[in-house]
Amino acid sequence: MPRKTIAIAAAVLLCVSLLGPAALGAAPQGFSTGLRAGGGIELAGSDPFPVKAQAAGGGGLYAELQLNRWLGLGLAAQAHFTAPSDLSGGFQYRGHWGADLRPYLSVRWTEHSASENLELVAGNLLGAIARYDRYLQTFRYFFYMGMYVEPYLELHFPGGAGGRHSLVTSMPLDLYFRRDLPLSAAAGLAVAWKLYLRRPPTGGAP
Amino acid sequence: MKRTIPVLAALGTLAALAGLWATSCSLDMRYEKYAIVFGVADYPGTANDLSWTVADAQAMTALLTAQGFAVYERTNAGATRTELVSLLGTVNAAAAEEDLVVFYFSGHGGLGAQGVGVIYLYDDPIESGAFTDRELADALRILRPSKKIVIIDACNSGGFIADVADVDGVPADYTGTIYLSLGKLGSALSAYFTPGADSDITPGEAIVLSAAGEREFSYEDYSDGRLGYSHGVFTYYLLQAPKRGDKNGDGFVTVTEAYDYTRRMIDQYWNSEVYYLERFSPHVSGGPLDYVLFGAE
Repeated sequence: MPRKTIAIAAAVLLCVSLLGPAALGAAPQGFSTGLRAGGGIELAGSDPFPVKAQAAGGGGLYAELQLNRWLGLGLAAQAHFTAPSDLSGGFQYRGHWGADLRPYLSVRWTEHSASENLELVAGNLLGAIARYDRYLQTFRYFFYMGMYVEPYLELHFPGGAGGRHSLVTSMPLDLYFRRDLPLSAAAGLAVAWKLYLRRPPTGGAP
Repeated sequence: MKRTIPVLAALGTLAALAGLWATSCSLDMRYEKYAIVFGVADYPGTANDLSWTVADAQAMTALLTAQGFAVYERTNAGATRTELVSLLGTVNAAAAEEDLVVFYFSGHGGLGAQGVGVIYLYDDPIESGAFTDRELADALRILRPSKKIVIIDACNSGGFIADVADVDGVPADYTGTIYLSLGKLGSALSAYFTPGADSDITPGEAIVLSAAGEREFSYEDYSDGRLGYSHGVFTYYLLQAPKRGDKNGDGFVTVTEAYDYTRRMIDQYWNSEVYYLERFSPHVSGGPLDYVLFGAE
């Protein structure tokens, strides 16, 4: 992914994040599904070679079950791409692409209500990563695992009969445990659109 | 609202860092390059002689010299085990950690005892002994430079490549089919959870670019050059890589780009013309690192 694109995407996400707190309210509960996309940088380091950054991006689907007001369980399935690093020093960390599964636990920190229909939720995802990748320009495949945390802000919009929508901005922080790379981590920004399939019960406290 | 401020501040900081990073990269390519080039065509006796392997070595020497390498070339009776060890010592005395060392060999290769990959230097008797992948890895280990590349244009040369943390989808006896992604998932899982010992050259020891798989031959032109290669087929295309192998147009050809170019060319122009048992495919080491091999011309 071109670095310029990442910079623009980061700026857009920042604007979305700044606009988010305009509405505050309580979150709906139940089963939800959605689409997410994001980008950022991945850091790679293998002694004696210095650490380098690689542009990274990805996107996919996820489904989440809100267990109660504060806890949820989810599973994300994504495709991802990591570009090669630069060639300074005559070497680079190879680019790779593939798919990953991310089971996670969602913990809500706060809920804020500003009106009957708009609410903002802050929370954090904590999960595991299983990745199956292929190095670019080769047919060499590898598997590795990792873990991540992903603080998020979720802005809920007024819902219709078919469900309720929300927009989520988040900052995933990944740590990978690779057999061939002692240091492998990533940080970035992501946006997601989320659809709650069941309307929240009415009449209760927000 | 107050609680969201730290989160937004973190998002803003990250966005700013991404923007800075996008505009701040510059390349530092100041390091020395050394190459040891061996080619053996005239083996002791006449039964095992080859036609173009010395020409391969000479052409590779010319290319690497033009690319700024300090090249030590040895052919035929000069390409011995003793000479290789001596030259590695010479290079090691001159080289620094950030430098690059390339070892190129064109000649006979094979599988030794227990399927170990071997190459035959001039003084290695083809019937009873050869230079093994482990011996080469041990010889390279004394080198101070951290960037080491091994290029072998020989039969069974894929036997020098260790599958440590990843697995190769190109079969060791390639006939035109490459495994689909999910076909290697089981092997990749096994490599992650139960890694095994491998006597081959690991990516941490050197990146290996081989002409052929572990269980297949590589080929050269007839002695009269009637096929138009006048080289080993793999080396013929590798020599083109500086001009045509810079796939991403960044001005450099990495080992992986050279692999990608030679593999595609051999598939397109050799494998499509020959009987399926004579098809072959280059292989390359896995691992997270890739080195600059050539400057693009």
